[in-house]
Amino acid sequence: MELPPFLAEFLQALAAGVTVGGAYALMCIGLGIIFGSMRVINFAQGDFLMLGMYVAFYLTTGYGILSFLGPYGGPIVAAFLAGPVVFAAGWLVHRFIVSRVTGAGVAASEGAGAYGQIIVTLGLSLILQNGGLILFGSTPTAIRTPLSRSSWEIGPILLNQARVVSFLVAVALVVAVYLFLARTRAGKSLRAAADNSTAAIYMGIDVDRAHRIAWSLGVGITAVAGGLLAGSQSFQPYVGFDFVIVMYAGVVLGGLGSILGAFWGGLLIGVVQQMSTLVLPYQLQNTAIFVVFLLIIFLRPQGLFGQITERT
Amino acid sequence: MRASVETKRQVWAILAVALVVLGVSLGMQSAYYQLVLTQVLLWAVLSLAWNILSGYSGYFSFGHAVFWGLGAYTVALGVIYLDLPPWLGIPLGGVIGGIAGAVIGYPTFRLRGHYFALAMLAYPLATLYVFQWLGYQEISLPMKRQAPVLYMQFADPRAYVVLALGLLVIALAISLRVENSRFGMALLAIKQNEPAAEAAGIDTWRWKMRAIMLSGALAGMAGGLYAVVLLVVTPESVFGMLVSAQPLILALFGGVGSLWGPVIGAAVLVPLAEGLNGELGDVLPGIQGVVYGVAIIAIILCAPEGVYWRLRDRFTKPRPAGIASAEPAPSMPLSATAPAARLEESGELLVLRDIRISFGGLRALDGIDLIVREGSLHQRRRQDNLVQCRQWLPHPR
Repeated sequence: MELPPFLAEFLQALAAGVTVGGAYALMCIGLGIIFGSMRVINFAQGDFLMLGMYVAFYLTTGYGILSFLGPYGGPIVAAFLAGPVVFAAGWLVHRFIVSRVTGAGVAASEGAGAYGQIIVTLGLSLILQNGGLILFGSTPTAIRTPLSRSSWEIGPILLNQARVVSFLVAVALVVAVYLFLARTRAGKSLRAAADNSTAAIYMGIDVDRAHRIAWSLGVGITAVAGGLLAGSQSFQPYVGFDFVIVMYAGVVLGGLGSILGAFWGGLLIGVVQQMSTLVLPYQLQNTAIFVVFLLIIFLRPQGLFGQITERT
Repeated sequence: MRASVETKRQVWAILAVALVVLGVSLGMQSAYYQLVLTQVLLWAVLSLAWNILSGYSGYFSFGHAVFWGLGAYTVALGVIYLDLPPWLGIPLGGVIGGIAGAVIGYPTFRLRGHYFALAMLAYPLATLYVFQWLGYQEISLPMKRQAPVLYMQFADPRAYVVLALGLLVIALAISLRVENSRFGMALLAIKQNEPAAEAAGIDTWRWKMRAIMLSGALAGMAGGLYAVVLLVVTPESVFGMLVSAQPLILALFGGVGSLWGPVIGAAVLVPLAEGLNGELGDVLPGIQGVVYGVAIIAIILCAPEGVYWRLRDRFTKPRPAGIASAEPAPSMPLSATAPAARLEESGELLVLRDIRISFGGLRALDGIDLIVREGSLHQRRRQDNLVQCRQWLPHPR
């Protein structure tokens, strides 16, 4: 069956959007966990993503530690391993820096504590970016695998294999995170701290610890998303910038504080980004994201899955 | 009246700072230091502009680069395509910044808190890509040898210091005026509790719009002068995330919602960043950013409310409590050092001197005198607050 060219192009963009959207959804969930539970605007989130990309890079191409897993398994395992590595880094960062300007007392208000948070995350972002520049150099790199060069053909649509695999991995991880939050005690304490930190303290929940888990888990998940993306695009230490807005757009689209919302939001942002290339010049791809972002904020600030009370 | 004494002191402080900067500038030989000084002044203006909106009203803007960038591009494109001298281009940049403020504020003020901040983040970044797409990737201001003064192309870098200083003095004067007027009061009230402010009859929408337009105009003018000083404009250098973050960092560092906070922030951090750039940037690219990041984190952990407020609390004694028995509620301390109400022989029915009232950290009244003579009508500034505080005064026995 022959499809008309515009329809084929449309489906191609849709497929590309959904596959890249998987990784976006994952990083949006990472940010959503942090924002939802701590109410902190984390400017360094994109830089933790960058960190994840480089961890995956050094585990495969750079030092070749995982080369025994073969060209197919290696990059995926490396992306997964980026999670724990960045989780540990995030744990330390929260323990020694972030916890001083956040916490139960600060989370509820936007008073003086919020000032400190903004400066701290901006400072972290500067440190990570420039530290990355020192450690990794400014040359763009990528994880080259046989997967990223080959694609499956379904009818008229070409599916990049690296992206499809990363999409599947991302979805699996999203399910795992969802189950963690819904079923485990740590996940429940995290949600309780997010809902009402004062009440959570009264119920005997260590809110500071819940925040530490949220922060570390959030940056860890985002790092895995970075590791997955590293297989299909090149990156340098400043790449985090490009993703900050993707993440915030996705999280706001889904509704601040909603994990499921963050998933759909991220996916939608991926689709919007890829579809915009049909009608807009390539350079305006990101402008399309901003326009969607602004539209959501104006038309439905509570997002697709958020509650109206979350608005202020 | 105490309030005007305070204002006069601030005016003298502004003039003193201006003279010191002029003196320093005249004394310095190196053109590089002059450039750094110019940048300190320009970033201070941007930070003050940010402070007018975000510092007083509490509506945090993560996107002031949009005004800065529009100002810079107005001047640069004006010189290139219209032969528009920057003497007109910079005010035009201010006008465009103000219009941009209105265009942005109109829809965005429907949002609050984090949503407002995040929406503001999107504007400069969206504009950045538009300017890239339009092909203004890197534009440099052409040399105008036939009329260097008309096009602000001075051989002596001190001229730029003077221009930037002029802009800073304007920004400080405007901030002072805002702080001491109904405008600033309204913004502070919005910051404290917007629904309450609205219920008290403050047209919050109008004040917010005025604040963002004024803020945008100042930022646009500073951006325009920045283009003249640096001669090259790229979308990243004027619309980038760092430009948006800079006024925020400077003001938060120095002290939000204060006149001198942004200036302190700029005076400390801009030379620090530049110095690190010059000293360490060549040795190990990136180390200057790491040190800068560590520095701002370290300082903010020591003084989370900003340097200005911390210093002020350190060096000024707490104000005398006044008549302790008159305090009606612990959250609303009220003091009047003179007898609160008395009948004088000169036909004065009511004399209130040196009234202060503060709601938490917000000083609503400071040093107000009210004298009501027999058979006269009086109109005083901040009357609504004054009338309110009457109910906490001790009843005359």
